[in-house]
Amino acid sequence: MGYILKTDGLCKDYRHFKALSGLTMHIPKGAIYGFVGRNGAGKTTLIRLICGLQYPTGGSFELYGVKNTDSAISKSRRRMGAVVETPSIYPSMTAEDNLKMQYRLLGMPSFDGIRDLLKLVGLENTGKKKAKHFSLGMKQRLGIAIALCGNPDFLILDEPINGLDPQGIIEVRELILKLNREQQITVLISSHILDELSKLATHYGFIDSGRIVKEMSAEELEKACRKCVHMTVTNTKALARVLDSMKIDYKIFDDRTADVYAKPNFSQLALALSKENCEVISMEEHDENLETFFVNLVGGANHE
Amino acid sequence: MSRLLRADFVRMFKSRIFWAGVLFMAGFAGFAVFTRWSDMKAVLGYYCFADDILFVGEMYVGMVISVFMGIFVAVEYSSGTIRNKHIIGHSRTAMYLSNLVICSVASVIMNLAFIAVVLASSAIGIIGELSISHSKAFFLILVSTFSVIALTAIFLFVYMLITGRIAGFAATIMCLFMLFTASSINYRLSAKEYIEPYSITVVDENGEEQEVEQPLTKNPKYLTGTKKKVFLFLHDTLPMDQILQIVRTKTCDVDFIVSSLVITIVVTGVGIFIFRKKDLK
Repeated sequence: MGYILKTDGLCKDYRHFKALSGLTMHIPKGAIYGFVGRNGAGKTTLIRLICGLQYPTGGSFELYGVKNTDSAISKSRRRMGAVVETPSIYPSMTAEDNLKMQYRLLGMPSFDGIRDLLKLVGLENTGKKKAKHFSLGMKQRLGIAIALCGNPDFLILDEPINGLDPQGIIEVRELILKLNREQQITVLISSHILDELSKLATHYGFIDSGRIVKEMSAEELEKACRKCVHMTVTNTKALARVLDSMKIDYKIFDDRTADVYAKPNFSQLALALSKENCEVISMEEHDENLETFFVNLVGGANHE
Repeated sequence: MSRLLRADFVRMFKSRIFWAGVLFMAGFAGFAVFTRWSDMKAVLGYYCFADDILFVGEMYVGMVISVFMGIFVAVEYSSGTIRNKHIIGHSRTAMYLSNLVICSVASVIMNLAFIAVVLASSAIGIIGELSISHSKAFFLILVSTFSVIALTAIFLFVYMLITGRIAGFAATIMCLFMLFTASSINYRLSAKEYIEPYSITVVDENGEEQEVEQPLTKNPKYLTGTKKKVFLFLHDTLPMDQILQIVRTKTCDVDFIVSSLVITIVVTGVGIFIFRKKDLK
C-alpha cells in the first residue's frame, strides 16, 4: 500500500509538557484519514510538525517518501494544502483576492481556475464582500479553497467543522467527500466530533496522550462496532450448528462464548439449542459506535 | 523569494494602512509648510529655507512605520497567513527578507512623501529655496533613507519575533526609547565645558536682597574621555541619532550609511536566526 504520510516515533516537547510521545501513523494514498482524539491529545501538534511550523524533538516523518530532515521536504509540502486551526485568509480581501494572493505566492502563471475553485467551494457569488464579513462556514470553505490552489493531492484539515452550524457542517462534509471522490485527494481530518467523522473517514487513527493507540480502516471499525448479541452457552459447537442452519453470522471465541451478528428469534434459538442439548447461560446485546469504541479504547473517565 | 515579493508588493499597494501612512506624511509636510509660510507672512525678516523643514518628517516617520508594520506584518500572524506561506514551501529566511524589503520600500516611500511635498512647496514658492547645494540635499536624503531602513529592520525584528498585541506595545516603547535616547545623547554632547559666570539674587537674614556673583564653573554634564567617545559613537551610529543630526545640523557623512547598513544586517541576521527556530502557531 502506498502511503502519503508515515510518521515514526514522533516526539514534541514544550518545556516540561510532552505533546507527542512516540507517535507512529500511516496515511494511505486516497484515504480520508480521521484523526481522532480529545482536546489536547496532540492532534494539532502533529499537524504543525507535518506542515513544518514546528520542529519535532524526536522521531521522524516521511511525506511522499521524503524524510523531514531532507531539504527536499519543502518541495514535498508544495504538493499538500492545509487549513491549520483557523483558515489562513486576509480578512480585508475578497474571496477572489485571497485566491489571487495564493496564486501569486505559488507562482502560478495565470489566475485561470479561480472561478472554478470558488464554484467548487460555493463562494462564487460573494462578489466584493470582504472575508472578515463571511460566516464561519464561508471562511472555512475559503480556507479550503486557498489550500486547494496549488492542486494538492494531500489536504490537511485541522478541526474543519469546529464552530460551524449544521448547514456549515454539511457543506464542508460534502466538499471533502467531493474532493476525495472526484479529485482523488487524500485528506487528513483531525476532529473530536466523532459522529461527523464517521460519515467521512475511510481510515482512522486514534490518538491519546501524544501517541496513536490504534489505526484501522473504516471496514475494520465497522466490524468491531457491528451490532451483535454476546452469548454464553454450554456448547458453542452446538450453537454453531444451529446458527448455520438459521443462516446467521457469528463468531466463536471459545467453547462457551460467541458473538451472534443478528437479532434472532430468541425463543426459536433457545428451543433449537435445547434440542442439541445446549443451554443458554446468558445473552447480552452489544451496540457499539465510533464514540463508544473510542471511549473504550482510550479509557473513558480515567482521562477526564 | 520573487513570488513572495510579488505577492506582498501587490498586498502593500492595495493596503489602506500604507496609503494612510503616505497621506499622513504628505499632510504633515503640508502642515509644516503652512506653519512656516504663516510665520514668513507674520514675522518681518523671517525667511524659511526648504531645507529647514526638509527632514523634520523623519523625526516622526518612525512612529508611522511602527503603526504600518504593526498592521501589515502582525496581520500575518493573526490571520494565520504566515503559516500558509511556510506550508506552501517558502523558507522562513525568504519570508523574513521579503518582509524587510516590502516594509523598507513602504517606509522610504512614506519618508519621501514628506520630502516631496516640501520640495514641491519650495518649487512653487510657498517657502524658500534650498540653502544647501542640490548634491548635498540629495546626499542627506540618501543617508536618511538608510537610517529609515535601519529603523524598519529594528521594528521588523520586534514584529516578526513577538506575536500578539504586545508586539505593537513593544514597538511603540522602542520607538519612544530611541527618540528619548537620541535627544538625551544630543543634549549631553551639546553641553558646554564651563558654566558662564552669572549672578543670582538672594534675601539675607535682615530681609534685604543681595546680588551674589557665581564664578566660571566646570559643567558636571560635560562629557570627556571614553564616555564622550562612546556618546559620539552612538550619536553617529544609532538611526534615530543620525536622523536628529540631519534635522538639526544638516550634516552627515558616508559613515552614517555604513553604520545603518551594519545595523540593518546585524538586526536582520539575528532576527532570521531566531525566526528560523521559532515555533509558529
